[in-house]
Amino acid sequence: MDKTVTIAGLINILGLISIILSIFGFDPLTFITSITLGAIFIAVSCITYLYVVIIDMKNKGVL
Amino acid sequence: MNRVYHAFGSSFGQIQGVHSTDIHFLDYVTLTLCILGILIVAYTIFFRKKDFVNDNVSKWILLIAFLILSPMAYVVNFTIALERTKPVSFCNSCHVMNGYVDDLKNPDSEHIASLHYQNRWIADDQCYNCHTNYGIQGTINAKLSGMRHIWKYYIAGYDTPVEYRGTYDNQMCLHCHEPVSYYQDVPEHQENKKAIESSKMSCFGLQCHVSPHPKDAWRTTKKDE
Repeated sequence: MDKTVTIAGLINILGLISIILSIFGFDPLTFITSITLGAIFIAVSCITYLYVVIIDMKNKGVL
Repeated sequence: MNRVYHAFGSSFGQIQGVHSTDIHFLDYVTLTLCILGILIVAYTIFFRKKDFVNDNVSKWILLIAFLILSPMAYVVNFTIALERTKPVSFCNSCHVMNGYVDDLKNPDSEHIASLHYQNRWIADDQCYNCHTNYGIQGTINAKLSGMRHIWKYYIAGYDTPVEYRGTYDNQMCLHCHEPVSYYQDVPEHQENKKAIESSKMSCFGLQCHVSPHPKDAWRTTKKDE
């Protein structure tokens, strides 16, 4: 589980870096990267983290 | 018909005229959210080095970073980014558009787009205003088309000569011109009202209005200079 969260964290950081790049060097390439890859990375990291939380709650008998 | 591909890292296709250094308040908000998100995630995962799945503090910190900060940063950035794609300088950042924008700024040009640009008949974002239908659907379609253009420009390649896709919707002209008397007083406009409104008859060509852009504008790129 820790490994999954670490991967989610790395993906999330990549998504945020793509957004920062589009702020400092706005051009068609950084724009498209930030709104497509950024969205995918951030969504994947959110879903992965939620998945880990739900599994953890199930294991602890909360859900 | 030729297929053109973008050459990364060469002067061919260099970004022209995009004001990369213009940072506004919302950029600072996005930047703060991003940096905060990165610091929180990096600190929790790499420096706290605890069993963060079983550590309640880490769990809550990560929850804030993943589910609040990052999506917020994305949404704010998305809003600013869409606004920044409207100016003529953004359209001109793809070299295939250089010829069109050069013509807009050419004082000797008599093309419709150039006249609208130089006389400020459209105050700002002239490309966007004439190539976007009115209403929310028009904006969404314009953004989707823009993304398709960027995809083709950088990845898939595009065919030359560059041509307008589909039929130009006359409503984009009529939105401003139709209500005014100098438009209504022209007998041809009244005789062909339905055909013009439904875009079955183009405003350009025949004995009507001159072309909006030079036909070979796509050739006049920075690459050719």
